[in-house]
Amino acid sequence: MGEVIVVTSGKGGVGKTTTSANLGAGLASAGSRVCLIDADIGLRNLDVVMGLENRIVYDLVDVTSGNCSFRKALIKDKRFDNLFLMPAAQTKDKTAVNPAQMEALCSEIKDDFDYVLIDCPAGIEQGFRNAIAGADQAVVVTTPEVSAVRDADRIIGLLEKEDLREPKLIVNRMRHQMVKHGDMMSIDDIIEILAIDLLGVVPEDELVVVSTNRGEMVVLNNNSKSGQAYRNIVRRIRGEDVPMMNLEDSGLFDKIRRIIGLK
Amino acid sequence: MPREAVNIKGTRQGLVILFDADQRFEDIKAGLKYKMDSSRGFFIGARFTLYGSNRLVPTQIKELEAICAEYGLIPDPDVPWPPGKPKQSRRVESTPLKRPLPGEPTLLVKRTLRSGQVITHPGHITVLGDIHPGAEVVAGGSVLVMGTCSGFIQAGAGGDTTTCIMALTIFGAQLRIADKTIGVSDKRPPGSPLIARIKKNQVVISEYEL
Repeated sequence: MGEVIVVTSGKGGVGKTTTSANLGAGLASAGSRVCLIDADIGLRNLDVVMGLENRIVYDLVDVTSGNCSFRKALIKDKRFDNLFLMPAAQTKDKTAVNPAQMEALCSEIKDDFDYVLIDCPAGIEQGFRNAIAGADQAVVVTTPEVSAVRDADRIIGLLEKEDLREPKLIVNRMRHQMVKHGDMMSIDDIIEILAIDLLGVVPEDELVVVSTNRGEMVVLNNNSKSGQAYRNIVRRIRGEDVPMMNLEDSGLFDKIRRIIGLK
Repeated sequence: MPREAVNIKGTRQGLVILFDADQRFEDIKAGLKYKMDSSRGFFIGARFTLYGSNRLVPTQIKELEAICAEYGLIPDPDVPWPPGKPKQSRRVESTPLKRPLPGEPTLLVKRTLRSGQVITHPGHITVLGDIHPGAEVVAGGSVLVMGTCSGFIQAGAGGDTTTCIMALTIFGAQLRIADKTIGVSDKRPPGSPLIARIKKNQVVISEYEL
């Protein structure tokens, strides 16, 4: 039986959907059977990010309201045979589904998969309650901004209340250079405020925007730092012990020193 | 779905409005308003008492009574509950103990309070953890925080000006004792615990000395 992991943040625009898509693709490329559920009813994006928009026939609301079986609504990914997407409905809103229906759906789906990732909508209202209803574990995504961290704190409190204890943290869009100059919160600052375990740090990377717009996932790009960060997170989710990546921008000098073996 | 926060029972002497004190105060308030709205004036002129309010602070009880009064109800603490012989309700844990305990009733909170979390208690509150920005602690008595205090802390919520707020560090917080408020934005260098008390009609923070 699989594990249901909800990807949430409270604040919008911190990278929940991007993280969901990349972790899904990463886990699938590592050989796990993965199902992504887009719980953002009315504002669906996950299908766009994955480049599967034009394949949608049935959606989440069709399944929860009994119009079709969940297998019929699942869309198989273009790249991996073991990656599936349950798209959200676009013409409905969050009240079209209730937490009990989501719980029933998750417990049905997780028998068929190793991992079920739920892309949670922003906010703390019904959409959030739906998304976390069937989850066994939670991943909280934040960016190194005070407002995002504050919202993450609130979300962690709400997750605890719903018995999703010990959520894991992903810090997205980290800019090491700014931290070095004291213009951005450091990982240590964020961990001290939120007091939860760190799952990974994803550096700011233009490639994320490029690949997202093309319906590709940066995790599959072997030449990008953000892709490497996502791959590390995937390995940690799969139970491997991977050390945190060194995000320091290595200058030309460092590169030369590394080549000649001084570092 | 969550359990109903408010239940209204009719007795021969009047109405008894029962609360689930485990729910958020905002939910209780909303639940009460909803019940009153859906009664369409049926309760006008009825006598009522609040039950389950022993875990609310006086200001909250007043707020609830005000909502009821808006809909034409008359408060009457003499409406008995449970009706007939006083049989034990399911809320056994909150009934006072027979033998007197030393000290005063205090709620011990063994966790960090995160943004949006609220703890209220008519007696004292001790928190073994931090109070994050956006969290609230409201006590009828004093508040002791064994950690960093950055949220909203109120002591003496019923108007008791002899209460105090103590914490290991305080910054980015708003402290209120009775009806006097102080904002604390600066971070002091770590030292002895801090105590906030009312002195000369305003809240004063000083280092705590035994």
